[in-house]
Amino acid sequence: MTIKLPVVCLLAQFSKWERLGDNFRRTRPPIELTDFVPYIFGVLLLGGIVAAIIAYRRRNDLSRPCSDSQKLFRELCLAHNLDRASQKLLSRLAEAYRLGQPAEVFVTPRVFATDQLSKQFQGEATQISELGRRLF
Amino acid sequence: MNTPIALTFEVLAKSRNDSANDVLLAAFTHESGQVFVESLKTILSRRNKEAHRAVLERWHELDESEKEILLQSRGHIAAALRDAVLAEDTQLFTNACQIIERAEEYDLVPNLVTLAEHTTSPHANHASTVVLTLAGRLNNLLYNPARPNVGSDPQVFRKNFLDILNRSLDRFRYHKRIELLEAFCLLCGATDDLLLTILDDPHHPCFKGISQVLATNTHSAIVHLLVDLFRSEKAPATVLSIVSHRSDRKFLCRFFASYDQKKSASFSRNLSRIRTFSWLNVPTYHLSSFDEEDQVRAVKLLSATGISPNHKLDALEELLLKGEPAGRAAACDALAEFSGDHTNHMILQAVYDTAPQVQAAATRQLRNRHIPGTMPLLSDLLDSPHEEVRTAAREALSEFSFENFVRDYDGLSDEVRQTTGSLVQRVDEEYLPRLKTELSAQGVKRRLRAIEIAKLLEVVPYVVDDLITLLGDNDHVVRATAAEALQYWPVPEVQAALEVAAHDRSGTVQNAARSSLAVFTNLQQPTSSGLSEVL
Repeated sequence: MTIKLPVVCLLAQFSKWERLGDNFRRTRPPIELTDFVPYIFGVLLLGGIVAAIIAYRRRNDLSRPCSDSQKLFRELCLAHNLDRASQKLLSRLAEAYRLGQPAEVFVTPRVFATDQLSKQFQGEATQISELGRRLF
Repeated sequence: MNTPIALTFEVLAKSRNDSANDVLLAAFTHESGQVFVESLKTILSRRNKEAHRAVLERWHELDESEKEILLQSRGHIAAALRDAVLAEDTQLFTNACQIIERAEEYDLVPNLVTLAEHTTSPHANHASTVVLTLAGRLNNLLYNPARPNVGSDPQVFRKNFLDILNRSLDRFRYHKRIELLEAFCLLCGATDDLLLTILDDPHHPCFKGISQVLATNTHSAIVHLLVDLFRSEKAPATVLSIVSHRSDRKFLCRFFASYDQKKSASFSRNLSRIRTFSWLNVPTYHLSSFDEEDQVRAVKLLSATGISPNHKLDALEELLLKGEPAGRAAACDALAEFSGDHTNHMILQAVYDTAPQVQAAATRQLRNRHIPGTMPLLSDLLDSPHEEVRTAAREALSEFSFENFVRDYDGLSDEVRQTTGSLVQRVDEEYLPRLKTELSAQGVKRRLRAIEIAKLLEVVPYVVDDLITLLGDNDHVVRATAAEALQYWPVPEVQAALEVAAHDRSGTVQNAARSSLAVFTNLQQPTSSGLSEVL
């Protein structure tokens, strides 16, 4: 069997490369849990943002079937173009008159009868009367 | 632009938030007012069974306009209505039944029938009554095209209804609900196979019930069904028996009216199979107690039955004495098939009835009955002030026609010729045209006899033209006889004709003409206008 010349040359040079990776470790160092903290934080943050967006959209999406008394209240307030103060006042009235849910205030004219207002609403009689006119 | 309250309810109506139902129910608790009405409308526009049930629970508290709102939206509350029918709450069930009846909700019939069959249910009786009411309404819808359509083909409702009832009848031995049988009878029709099967089989569980319904129910549709069954080709014996035993006025009037409808062989055959009518024995149901039209129909119908002659005669006699004029006349006509002294006596009495039509009906029968002494009576009736009586008398004496008189003339004595001729003049209204025909007949003998009859009946003035024409007849005997007859009408035209005849080629004719002219000179000549007055 004869060995050809180019192969002999290559074998001759092998010793040059032989020590090249001596300072590199053959196994990777173990991954610590703390290594993932930034990633987990990032994912959670992203998820939270997405969930918040979804929740916000759901809260304001009136076309979705649901059973949410607060949402109905908001829907009615929106239809009647009521500002935040009016909404708050209506909500308080509903609570004061022990209505089943805040939206019932829109179908309960007696709530706006100023002559039957309790003491806590005496100072807001004008606003209540005005609201009553707007809703009925 | 919407009012605020309308806007609120619009939002509640469209909202996909189920909390709106609670808000609406809260608004619906108001006693009345706009909020209440709007909440009612909105609840009905939404598809929520609980809310609909709440409305159904208060149905009895709603006023008429509010009930109308609910009925307009009945399509939305079908599910709640179905639940309400099966509910244990009696008020809710009662309300649901009222709505079903008013809205004619035939889709709920299966539930109601099931409930009616449930013998232990406290609502079974009510349910069966509602089924019966719905069957009545549907029947009305089917046979009353003037009614507005309820939105679907009534025939489809009828088919579905009948399918349910057919299945229920299979279970009749268990539930024994007569109302369901009644409902079946209201819708089935006379050709229904199941009905005919039941009526043909006395052992069928429904036989007794169906027979009872047909025998006692006075609903127009049931009465109609019974009459239709009676008219049908395959009328079961049970039906004949029921018809002969029913004695309620509603049925009887409908039954009598059926006689005016198109006659069929089966109807006539079934009528002839009837041997008795119970109502004939009921004092309150004498023929005279019915309307005039029904009296006439009843007589015709009675005559077509196989009832014994004595019963028929009794009924006809009662009607003849106490009925309305048309009924009395019909009874009189119906007596034609009866003979005997008693009937003859009734007919003679009827001749003197106050109503001309009754007199006429009796008069028509006088001659055929050969009652002694009727000829003078008929002769008198020929002069009755009532045209129909005179016509009837002429019909009764129709054998006294001019044609018969001419045929038998030669065999009659002079006296009989005189009396018979006089009668013929009164009976046969066409005797003059026929006499004129005879005067121009081919045979000499016929012409001579006609001239003689003209003289006998003293009608020369009416046939004077024909007699003048006969002065130119080929036969000298005819010419002479005509010349002789013309002496009875001395007018210038006749005189002129006789003067011409006086120069006839026949001596006999000349003599006759001259003889008549001689009579003229002895008489005061009537004017031509006298003839027109006579005519």
